Amino acid sequence: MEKLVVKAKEKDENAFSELIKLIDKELYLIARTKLNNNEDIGDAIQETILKGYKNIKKLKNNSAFKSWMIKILINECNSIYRKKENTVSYEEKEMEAYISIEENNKDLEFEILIKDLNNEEKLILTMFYYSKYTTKEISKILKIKENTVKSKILRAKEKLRKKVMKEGEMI
Amino acid sequence: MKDIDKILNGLDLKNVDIPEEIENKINYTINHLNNKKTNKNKFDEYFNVKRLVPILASIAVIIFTTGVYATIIKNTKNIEQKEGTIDQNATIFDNRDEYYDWVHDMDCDDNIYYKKITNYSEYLKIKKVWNDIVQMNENDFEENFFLILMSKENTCISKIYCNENTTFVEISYNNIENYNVDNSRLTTKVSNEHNRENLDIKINPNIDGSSEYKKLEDFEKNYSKEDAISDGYFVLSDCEIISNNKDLLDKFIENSKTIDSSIRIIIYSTYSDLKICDIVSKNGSYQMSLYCPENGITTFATGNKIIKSAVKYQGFFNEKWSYLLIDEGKWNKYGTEETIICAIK
Repeated sequence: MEKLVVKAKEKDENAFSELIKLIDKELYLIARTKLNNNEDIGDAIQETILKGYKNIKKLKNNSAFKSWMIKILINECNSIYRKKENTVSYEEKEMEAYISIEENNKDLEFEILIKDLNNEEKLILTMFYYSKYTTKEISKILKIKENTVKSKILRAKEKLRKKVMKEGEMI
Repeated sequence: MKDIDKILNGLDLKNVDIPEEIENKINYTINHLNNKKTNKNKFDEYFNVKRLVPILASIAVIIFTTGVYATIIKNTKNIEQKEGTIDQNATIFDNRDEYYDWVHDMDCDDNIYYKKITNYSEYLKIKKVWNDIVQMNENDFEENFFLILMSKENTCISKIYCNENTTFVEISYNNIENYNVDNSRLTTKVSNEHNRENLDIKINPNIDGSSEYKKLEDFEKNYSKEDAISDGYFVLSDCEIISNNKDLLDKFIENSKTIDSSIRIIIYSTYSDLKICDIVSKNGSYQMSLYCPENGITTFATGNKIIKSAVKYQGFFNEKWSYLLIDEGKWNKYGTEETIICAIK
């Protein structure tokens, strides 16, 4: 990946495209924890790619490309969320969340499972279990203490366990 | 029963399919990087400074003539600071981040975006966007730095102190008398004596008048229902009153219309974190602080009346009543501004 970053810094479009193809699934999963519909997710990723391409020369540590892009993405998502927050009603948000789940049924089980977690918990679980980041790496990207990351993972898992147990009882 | 660890550890990016419309967007973007760049440059060119001057001038004239824009210089506990004040109708300001992308330019701590500026040219860039910031000239930067915070509503900078490596900025509830303002953007001039490598923003969740209670930051996230009841608070669990003082909230609402008083509500929920709500009434107006011990997040609100409203659409816990803090001085597009205090079965 670092070789591609070096080439991308020289404005090699193909190299940059290859880099994006290596991380696009992660970008999608992370955006999905922050935003509720595909249009917004697509916009956030598009803006992230453009900003990444425009500013890649500013990236000092080539090996940090992925986490750098994720930081840009999270800011982009926050920006879109903030703008939407004032215009979308609560009911619409709920509905969009359900539609989003229905549309992507490949990892439906995980998506339904984490539906009731808050956005931060969803994001941390996605980064930890899907992207396989360590708690230390997550703490650096999200600028929170490593112990907080660990406790949030444990807490989120506990919530999931309770949810699964409750569903089991109902069945 | 499903095994959570098995599901989580079995997650694999290979099994993730990006929806077609998003994949198409990604492909289009990476295939048109330069075209996009050109379009973007055209956009930037259109909104360059020369073009912005007449636009900004027009905005300034509109604002000036309609009288919707005002500034307040406030001195809170000896810290000279200035709050951006925007009438709710002056929505034109909402679009300012179109040309100053503060979300990306600023740092963030405790969900508050901030920027520390140590030179005059950077200060002027901010000044171009928001003219109502604290005034500084070039000489001021020899002994001071400038700090801008995109804070929460109803807050002010209450304390600035430091240790060897870190400048600490404390944000507190601001008891403003004029409700009709959005005072979430704070700016201040700080002496270089307080300039350190790191900056840490701390939110003081307590509001004046609730000093009879234990400090909010001293609550543990696992504060038990039993302790909350024995401490005499009004305690809710999944929207059900579990403390013995069942009419305490209704009495508080009634009494607070004529007598200054306060209440602490402890809110437990199966599906969300413990929350502690302090409400203080003073001269017929209310200040509220909603604090979450799990993450330290605090929300402040101000209002002039509390209403008990029947819930139209019952939620998960079949709550029947919503208690809302209403600010009749503040309007948004949905009507008067209201903050949910709690829901009760």
